[in-house]
Amino acid sequence: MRLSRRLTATVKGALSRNQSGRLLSATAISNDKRSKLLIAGLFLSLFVMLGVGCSSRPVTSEILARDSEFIVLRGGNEDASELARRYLGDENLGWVIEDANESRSIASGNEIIIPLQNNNPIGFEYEGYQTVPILCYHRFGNKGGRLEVSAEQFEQQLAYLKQHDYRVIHLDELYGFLKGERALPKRSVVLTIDDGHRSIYTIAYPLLKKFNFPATVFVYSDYMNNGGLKTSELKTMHASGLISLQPHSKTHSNLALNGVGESKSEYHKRVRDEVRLPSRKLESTLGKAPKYYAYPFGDTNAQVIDELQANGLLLGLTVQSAANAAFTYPYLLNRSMIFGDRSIDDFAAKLKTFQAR
Amino acid sequence: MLSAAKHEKKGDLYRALKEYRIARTLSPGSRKPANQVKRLENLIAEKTAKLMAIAEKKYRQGKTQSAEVLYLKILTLDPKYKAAFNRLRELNKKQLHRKMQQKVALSQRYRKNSTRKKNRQTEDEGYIYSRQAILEAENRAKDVAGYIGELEKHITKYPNDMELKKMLLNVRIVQARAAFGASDYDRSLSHLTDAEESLSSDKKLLKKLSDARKEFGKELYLKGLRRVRSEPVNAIEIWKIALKFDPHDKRTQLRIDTFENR
Repeated sequence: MRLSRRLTATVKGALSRNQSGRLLSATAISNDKRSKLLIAGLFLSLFVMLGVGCSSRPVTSEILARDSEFIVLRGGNEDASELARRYLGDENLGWVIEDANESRSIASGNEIIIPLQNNNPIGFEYEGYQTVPILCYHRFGNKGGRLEVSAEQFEQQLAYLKQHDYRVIHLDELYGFLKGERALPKRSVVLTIDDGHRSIYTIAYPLLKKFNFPATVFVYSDYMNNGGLKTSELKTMHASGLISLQPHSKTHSNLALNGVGESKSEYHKRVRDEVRLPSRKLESTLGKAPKYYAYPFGDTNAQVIDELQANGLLLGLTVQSAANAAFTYPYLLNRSMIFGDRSIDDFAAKLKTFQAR
Repeated sequence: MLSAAKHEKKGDLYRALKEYRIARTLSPGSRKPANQVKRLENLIAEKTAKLMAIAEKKYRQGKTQSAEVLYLKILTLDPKYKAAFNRLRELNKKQLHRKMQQKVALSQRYRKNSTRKKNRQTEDEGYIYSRQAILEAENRAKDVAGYIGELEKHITKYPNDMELKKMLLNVRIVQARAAFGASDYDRSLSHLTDAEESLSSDKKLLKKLSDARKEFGKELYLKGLRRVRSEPVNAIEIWKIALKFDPHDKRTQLRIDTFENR
């Protein structure tokens, strides 16, 4: 336990302060004030622990020290979410405490570090750097096509994410990370679904709700109410707060390729329309301007990216299979396709959340 | 857990700094951790400045790979070193643009139906492109022939895609039914024959086509029966067409034989 090591170091330090002036490590730093504080803390916690032994009252964590950078606690029986709610003002930030304490468990009696400043928003460490995989689905069902993932497979994949402590995050959070401003949980993953097939509503959405996992659905607007998702379904998913709806072009034509016999000006107009019109349609349907865009076929070029920027879109997603570092260019984000004919091992292989240096 | 000093010895200055900062929080009155923090902050600033100068030199010389390694190293020491971060993004943007150009060229080749490399990734991309082309065609409601064409093209490339085979079967049967309803029997037959050719390797689907043929044949048999008294010649013609749909229908053959022998 870190506390006991620090305490031991402190006591040793107190005994041998005059024997050695060399500072071996941060844990060996001590002075009378600190020793007194810690010993008093120890007695206090002993008292609290005895109190718990006599009754079933919850044990609350105890602040050992705090400044503008950290709070150091001796843990009570609160979990990371509860600690985050109390000390960071948001229970959803439990991961900040879990990640800062690495392998040390958040448990009663343990020393817990709560960082108050975001000093590493891009996830860089000595061994390498954080990457965020974005998974790309298309449709769901049992017809057997490779682009189709069955309900059972999808549930198995979501369960895998949960069991292996992956954190499914919104694209909004990834955007903050890409700006170099927002730290993300260490095992962050983004889920996206392209096209707007109705099986998203009938199969994927209930499962996403069950696991409370957010996802971004990229719809191409000509497919809306025309074989694809209906307005009512889009609104229901949007209202849940779990599903973000974003554009995936108007007709799903390839924006990086000139059409047969298409003049330059016709091509420019097509690109403009394919970017602008679906955004407008989504905005009028949902009352919220879209912010992200998935390129049809995952293909794009400089002109399409310019058009995205001109329309205030902040991210562009391709289907190049790789995970994304904080420094990845936001208009060429990588995504890994999920196929229905692959095993759970293949799925797991796409969840690369760290790149060794 | 490694102590701050051990982290520092290993070269992990950022983690060492963090440990010293925690120690400073724990011992606000002590000068030692505060001094260590200051010392490491200065050391990191000095190291990153040196590394940045070398990296920039390499970058200017066009040695971008070496420069990239250095920018990464700088960020492991100081994750908030914005200039190194920006350079990495700039390099990443160029790399991703190059990769994208290759992918677009691949899409161009798929569009032109040229040969492609046989590896898993290109196979996947080919499959996606092929399926997406169907999706596009699906939306062109008036261009059924184009839609069927895309389906057949896809099935030729991916003969094991049952979903698409079933889709093709259904589209062909619907088209055959529509032509049948308009009394365009040749066209109806041609839809069924084409489907049989495309789906020749799948017995289950062929059985469905055979059932469709029997159904059309039966309808024509009954139609002939209804006409046999008023227009016997016409009835025989209808039965002959019925036999084209279902050549093994003995009942229709018997009717034709009976009436022709009269």
